Amino acid sequence: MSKTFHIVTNIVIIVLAFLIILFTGMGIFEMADGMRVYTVSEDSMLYALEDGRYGDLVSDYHRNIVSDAKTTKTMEECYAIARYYEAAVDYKLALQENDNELLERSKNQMDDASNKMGDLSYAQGEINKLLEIE
Amino acid sequence: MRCQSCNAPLSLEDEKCPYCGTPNPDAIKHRQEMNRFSGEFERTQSSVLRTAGENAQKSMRIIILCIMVILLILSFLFLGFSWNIAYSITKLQAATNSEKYCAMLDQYEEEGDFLSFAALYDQKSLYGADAYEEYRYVYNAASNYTNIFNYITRLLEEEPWEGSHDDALKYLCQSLNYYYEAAEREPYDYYYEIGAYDQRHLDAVERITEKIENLLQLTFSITEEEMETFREFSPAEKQVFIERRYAEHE
Repeated sequence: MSKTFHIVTNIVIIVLAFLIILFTGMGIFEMADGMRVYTVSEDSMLYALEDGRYGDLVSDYHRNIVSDAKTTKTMEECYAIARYYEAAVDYKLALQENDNELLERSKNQMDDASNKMGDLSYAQGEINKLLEIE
Repeated sequence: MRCQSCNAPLSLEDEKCPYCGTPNPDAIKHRQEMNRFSGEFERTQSSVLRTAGENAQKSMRIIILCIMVILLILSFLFLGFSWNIAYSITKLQAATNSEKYCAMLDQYEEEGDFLSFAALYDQKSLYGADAYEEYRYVYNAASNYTNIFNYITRLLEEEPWEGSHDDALKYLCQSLNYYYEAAEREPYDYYYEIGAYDQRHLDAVERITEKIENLLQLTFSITEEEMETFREFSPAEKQVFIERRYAEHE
């Protein structure tokens, strides 16, 4: 009787310990997941650039900037492309609206971003072609 | 007690008479009984000790089981409420940093950087904290503007896979309808009380509307007059108009 009791309690204790560890682990994981600030990696930004998804690049840039995400040289260049694209859209809008103030501001922003594109400066030509900017 | 032979006085410990040497049967019987009782006592004592030990072990195991069941219930509750706990911590962090984030929101609002405005609001989960309630009206508009900007840029870019432009067009129309809905002022006093409809916020939403309409005009070649009419369209009419324009443009 006593031996059976020992065996049964040992099994129950092991099962309970396993469930406690499992539930606590899952809870900690879910909590960390709920508190995680999602930032975009260098690889994701490069994929977006490769696919010509400049709009996504702009979203990624803003997301990373407000989250103080760690950056690399390549990411800084991707950020410059995102800024260039956003400014280029504003430039097009300024042309359409004959908004000289916006035109000048966006032109300056484009020039500034263009100097920081580094090895990825080929994107500038593609953006200009895409948005029909001469 | 006296000796049966010489009648000398005897004690229970005297196995023989100290005077005549006759054996004392009572003393012998007493010793035998004492030996028997002593054995029984030891057996009973060890049995009691063994049973008590076993019971203590059983009790200990039952206590451990009870504690583990309580821990299991607590861990299960922790798992069930982990999102709520995370949300509360995030909300607390947002409330703690309200001065910093409000300053950033004000700066983005003033500069017209509504993509950053929406990104900050989303990334730092500022929805819950009271300190950001007054920005809710601008956030709703900025968030929809972010989506509209993304879908419009997708339409401008090369189609990465077949049907992606159709999807972007569908979601663009959806976001546009959400935007015009969100830009409508709620008739509740609450929004006025929290300052959501302060002039600077109304101006910001007006600038967002202007940006969205300029983007639409640019992308779909919509004239100023057409835009006037477009604003009055129902959600379904807006969608039909945008889709038709996109088809013509293509």
